Amino acid sequence: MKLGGPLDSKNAARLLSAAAILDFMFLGFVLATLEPVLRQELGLRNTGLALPVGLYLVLVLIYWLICEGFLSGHSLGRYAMRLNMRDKRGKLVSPMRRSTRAIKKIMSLGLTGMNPNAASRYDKAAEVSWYSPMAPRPLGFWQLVVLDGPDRGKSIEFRKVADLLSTHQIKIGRDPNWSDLALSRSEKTSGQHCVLRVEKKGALYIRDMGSSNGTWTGGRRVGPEKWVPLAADGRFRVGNARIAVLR
Amino acid sequence: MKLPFQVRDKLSLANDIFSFFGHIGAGIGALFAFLGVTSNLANSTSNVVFNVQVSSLSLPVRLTLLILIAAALGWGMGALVHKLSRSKNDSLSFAAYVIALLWGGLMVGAADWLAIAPRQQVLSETLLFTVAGTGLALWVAGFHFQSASTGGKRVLRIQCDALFLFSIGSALFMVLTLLGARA
Repeated sequence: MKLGGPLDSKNAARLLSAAAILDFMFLGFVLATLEPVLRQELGLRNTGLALPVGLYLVLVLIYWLICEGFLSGHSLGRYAMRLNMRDKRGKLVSPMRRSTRAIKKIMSLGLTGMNPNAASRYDKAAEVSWYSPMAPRPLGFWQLVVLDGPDRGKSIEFRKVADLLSTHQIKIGRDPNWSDLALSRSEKTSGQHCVLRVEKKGALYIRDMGSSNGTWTGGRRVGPEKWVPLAADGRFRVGNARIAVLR
Repeated sequence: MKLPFQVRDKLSLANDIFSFFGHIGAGIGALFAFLGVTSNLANSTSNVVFNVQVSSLSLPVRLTLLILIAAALGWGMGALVHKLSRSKNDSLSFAAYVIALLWGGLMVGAADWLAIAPRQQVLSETLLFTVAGTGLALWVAGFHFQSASTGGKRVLRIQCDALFLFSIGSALFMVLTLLGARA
């Protein structure tokens, strides 16, 4: 399963709530299957709501123990939502952190995890982050990928661009000595074609370097005189090659 | 006269939405026509049983049908929400939430349609089909929301909200369906 990037607390809470709903529905199915069998086997007749409610709580506890204890935080719902539990650095959560999280969860009976607007207290206490393919990855893992043209498939990861941290710029052109992403086979690309500026918060701007065949983003031509924000889809055209930013 | 890019972009989105609903309408029409023909044939031929009743199909066949429908619903919802979440028009973004809720209802409706009558069930098929269908639809919809072409925090928030509302809609309609079956 693709890891993706870290979700902010609100979006993570929404997706976790959606996953929890699916898990509760699954447990409802298990309850509906088990309850008549148990009722018959134990010879119980008029127990009212006591048996289904009690059985459901037991099922929730067992399911929670299996998911948190043996499946590293995975569950049916979280798998459907593609959620991964990681620490702040994107690594697997250590057993110590998982234990801390489990203890805090027991103490609050898991109730703080039912708020769809904020991260649960036990996730905060254990410094657990939720990763999803829906969320953009950290800036260093973003990629520039050539989508078509003679250089189709060429790509470069932001963290592999020399001097990106100091200049905040990625140079694109045909000249391999100047360019960070060299489109050496594309005849319609100028030697020094355009520059992409990467802001710390992930905002992207593009500027043409006076190329012959132009640079385009969002259906508009980018001029050499000022920086232009990159289109929302993260795509731009250099000569006859389309390039995308994969976040 | 050439319209501005923003207007053409919105017109293109509106056309896409209309054509999508047009395709759904055509599909439903074709299905009803097929069921109508088979039903008429069954009525007119007393000796030959020609009626297609979903509840008479075996469990693997119905599960296969459920997988196809859930995948189609998930894909359709993902595509629509993906498009609508990128719109700068707030009312179109709000439409993403309404669609997600309605899609939950459609999912439960499909599950209930494919499940055999509650009194004949050994397993609670309505629940099983709803859980399996909702999970699959959420998983498939996620393919449209992968960050490869995302457009910022607002888009991510709308997509997360839509998935949350889809699961709420699914749970809500499932409870109503089960209560309705007991009544």
